[in-house]
Amino acid sequence: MENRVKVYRAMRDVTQEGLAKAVGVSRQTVMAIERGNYNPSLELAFKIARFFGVGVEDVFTYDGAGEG
Amino acid sequence: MPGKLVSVWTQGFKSLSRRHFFTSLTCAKPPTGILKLTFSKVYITYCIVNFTSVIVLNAMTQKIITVVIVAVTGALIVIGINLGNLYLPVVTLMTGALAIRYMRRRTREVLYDERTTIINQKASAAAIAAFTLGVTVIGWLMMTVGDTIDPAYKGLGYALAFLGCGLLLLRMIFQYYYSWRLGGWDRGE
Repeated sequence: MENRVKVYRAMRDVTQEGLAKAVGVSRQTVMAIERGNYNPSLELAFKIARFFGVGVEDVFTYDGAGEG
Repeated sequence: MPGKLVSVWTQGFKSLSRRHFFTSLTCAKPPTGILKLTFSKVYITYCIVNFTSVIVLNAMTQKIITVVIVAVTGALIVIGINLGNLYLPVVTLMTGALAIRYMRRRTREVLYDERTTIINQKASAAAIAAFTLGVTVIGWLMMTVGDTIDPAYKGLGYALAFLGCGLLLLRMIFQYYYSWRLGGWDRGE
């Protein structure tokens, strides 16, 4: 799964810590998501998308590879 | 006078924050009630009470303090056991657990989320797999060739083998339980 969290974060000028606090996870989790090392749950994906004011598919795209 | 008291309070925190170990301790909110108090023992008590209630830690400091608490608690438990004192390990364990709990509650950052849950699950599964494999191999070795070293090893081998089987049985029971909790039984509907 690929994501554009870092791009949206840069566009909104939000720090990793700010995003983490807003969606209720640790900064390490946001970092792991951005690096592609961790695929968030559906709930967290929705929270992140809602935080940026966009749809889930705008932030996360499924390429059919990798494990959850 | 109130200005002086606030100044004293602020300076107190600033001087604390300069120390290396307390760099992450910050004053969450200024103690407004202090303005009405005069400088006395009451003031000092009030300061201490407020200081402990406004301690806010970051994740790294919380981890360091937790490691220190665990190390000290472990050392005191060993000392207590060696001295034959039963109260020291119990009191130390309870105090350590309370201190760790307090530190977690005073941490401003999120420490546990869905990723840490997955990490814990994977770590637990790997630990169980490694332990079961180790117990099985060592148990089998003791059962088969343990007799040649010491007859007692054979009994120990059986005990380890049963321990491994018990662990696998327990894992199977929990697997069925969580399979039911997180999906229910398949009735072919």
